[in-house]
Amino acid sequence: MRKYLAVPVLAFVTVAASGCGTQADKRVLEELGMISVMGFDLEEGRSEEEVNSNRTTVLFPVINPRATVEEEVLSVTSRSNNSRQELSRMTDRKLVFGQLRTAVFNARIAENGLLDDLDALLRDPTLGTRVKLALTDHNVHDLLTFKHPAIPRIGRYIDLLLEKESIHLFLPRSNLHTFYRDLRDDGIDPVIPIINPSTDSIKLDGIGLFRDDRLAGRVKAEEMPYFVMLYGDFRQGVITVQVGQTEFVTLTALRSERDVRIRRKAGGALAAEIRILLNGSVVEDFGYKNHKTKKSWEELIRKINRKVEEKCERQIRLMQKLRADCIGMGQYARRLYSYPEWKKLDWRETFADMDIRVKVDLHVKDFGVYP
Amino acid sequence: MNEKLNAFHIVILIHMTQVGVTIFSLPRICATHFGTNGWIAILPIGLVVFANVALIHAVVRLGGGRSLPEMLGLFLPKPVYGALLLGMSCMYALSACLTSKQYVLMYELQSFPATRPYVFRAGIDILIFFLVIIGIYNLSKAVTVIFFSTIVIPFTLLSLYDETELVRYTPFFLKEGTDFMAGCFEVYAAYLGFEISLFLIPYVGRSTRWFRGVYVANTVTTVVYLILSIIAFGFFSYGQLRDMLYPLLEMTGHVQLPIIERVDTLMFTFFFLVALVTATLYFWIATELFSYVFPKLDKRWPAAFLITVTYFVSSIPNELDLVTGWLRIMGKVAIATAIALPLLLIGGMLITRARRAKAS
Repeated sequence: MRKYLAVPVLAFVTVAASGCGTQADKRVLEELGMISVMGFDLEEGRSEEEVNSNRTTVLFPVINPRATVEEEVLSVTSRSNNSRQELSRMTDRKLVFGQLRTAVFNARIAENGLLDDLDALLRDPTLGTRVKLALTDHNVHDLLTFKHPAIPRIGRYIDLLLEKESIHLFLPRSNLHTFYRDLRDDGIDPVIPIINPSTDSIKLDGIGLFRDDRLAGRVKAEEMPYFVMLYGDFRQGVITVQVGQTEFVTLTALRSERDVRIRRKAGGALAAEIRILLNGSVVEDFGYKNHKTKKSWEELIRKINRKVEEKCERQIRLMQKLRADCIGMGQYARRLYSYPEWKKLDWRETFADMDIRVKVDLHVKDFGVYP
Repeated sequence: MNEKLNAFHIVILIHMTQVGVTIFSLPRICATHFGTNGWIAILPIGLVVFANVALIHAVVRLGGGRSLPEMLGLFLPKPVYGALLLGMSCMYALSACLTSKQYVLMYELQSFPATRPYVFRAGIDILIFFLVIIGIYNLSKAVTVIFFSTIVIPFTLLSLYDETELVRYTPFFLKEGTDFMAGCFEVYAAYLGFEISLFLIPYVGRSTRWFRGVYVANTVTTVVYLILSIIAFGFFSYGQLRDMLYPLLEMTGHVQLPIIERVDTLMFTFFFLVALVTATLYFWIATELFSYVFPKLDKRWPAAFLITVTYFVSSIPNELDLVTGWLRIMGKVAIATAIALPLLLIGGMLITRARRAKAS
């Protein structure tokens, strides 16, 4: 008899549980606007009284087979983070942020500090912290409405572009988590990649260097590999090095390992040596010279090493000038100090005055099949 | 003759009671209260917990197979220990209910912001009721299943190894901590659950060898807590760790599986089972204590009574912070009980023994 009592009880629980999800929490896939990219533009006030405001642009795929567009773009201007309500009034879909993959900021917003804008993203529990971050020099709205026959879905395109580059670690991984992690670490400053539209596509156009949450400067697109060598290890890269007036060498399948050695000199000043171990193959030697002998190969490698060192050191000088320690020298320097010493230290200034040398050691696995 | 619990089940039972909702915030607690490299504090606190467990071990040996009310009956008059047991019963029932409430509030935060919690909680409470009344032996089987479906989680976190860096730990130890004592209490509270061993006495065999299981469970818990916190301190920067509410959830959000995106929401549902077990076992203790006082009553009645009453009591605090605050207070009371009760029992039994020796 008692066993049969379980049936009505279970039935009650089932009914109660199904009533548990109220209408407000119900989500029907076809009725959702699953935002894949969010963009933020700065709109400057025209007069003195008018304060600057942000234009928020969101982009979500349209799941209707009869729709002629693949993605819908909505955009509103607002002074605070209430843009979400305004956006939801503009569409018949229920906007959800759980599938957000990328947040794009206009570089001018970043120059004034990103933390205020990131706060809304970090706080939202429906968002994962793997949301990728990107900067652009152009209008974000224009970037997200970029039309090209080969790019049907710009949201996915941007996501894959950033993903592909960071898998090979040719671009430092940059998402909400890494940004906030480096921001709240006193030994490193964050970085965010820059993407810009060009005539044919949207391309990766450099790396933004931050001092705290403000954009301080940037690494140019062609210098990115050298920055990444200083930043950490990468697994598969390509660089072209100009070794002479007319001679260019291209290295592929490049792996790099970074080794930071830091010490205090007699006067208390810091000296660091960043050793970069490169491993790759030479596939192109433009301005062809015949390197038949071992000696001439060694000469070539030496030239490449020197060239890469030079390029890397230029990046370091840039960061020192900006007082932005984006390669995390501080994380290594911490161990040379006691806790009170480190807290008293003005790390930015110490970093700027630091003597940092780069030593590159290239190992060429092979010289291609027609050496 | 009833079936007896064996050491293996005891390990799982106690480990699962220990691991509760605090596990979500443990690395953050270590970071805020102990400061840089705060994970290291888990070790000494774990050792103190071992001492506490040893205290209970001494009680079990002195008692020689007597159950808790029998031991108390040796040296306390019935009304006194009856009141004591009822008081403890209320405390454990309230802790249990707050644990499930905390989980529900977190679930709301995470997944169903608009759903009203009381329906969901009622569902959980009914489930708990059915688990409590099946008796500890069947319960331990259910817990074993849950154990094996959740023990993988700390190990999936090991895949975050790539993103942890040695330099992120900083060379400084226990600097910038805000409140060392508060931290000790909270981490100690994360270990609570071992005191259930006091109530298992009637369900194990005559020898006291089963008690080794309690030590093993404590070791397993320490290892899980350490793995979790060590990974968290390398994965997050110290400042970041202090700023976040639930580091464990954040970390599961970064575990990538080949097919599923946003595993964290899925994992969170698994954690439901962890919270459920903790709440269920605390309710079980409360029910046991209640039925010590009213031995003739069918155990289903006290279980239903306690679950219903605490359901309404724990409806009072409505904000996550408030519930966490209540839990913290309950944690302190429970710690005091876990230390004072064995001491009382040891003292009482030693005195009784001495008196008897004198009399004979």
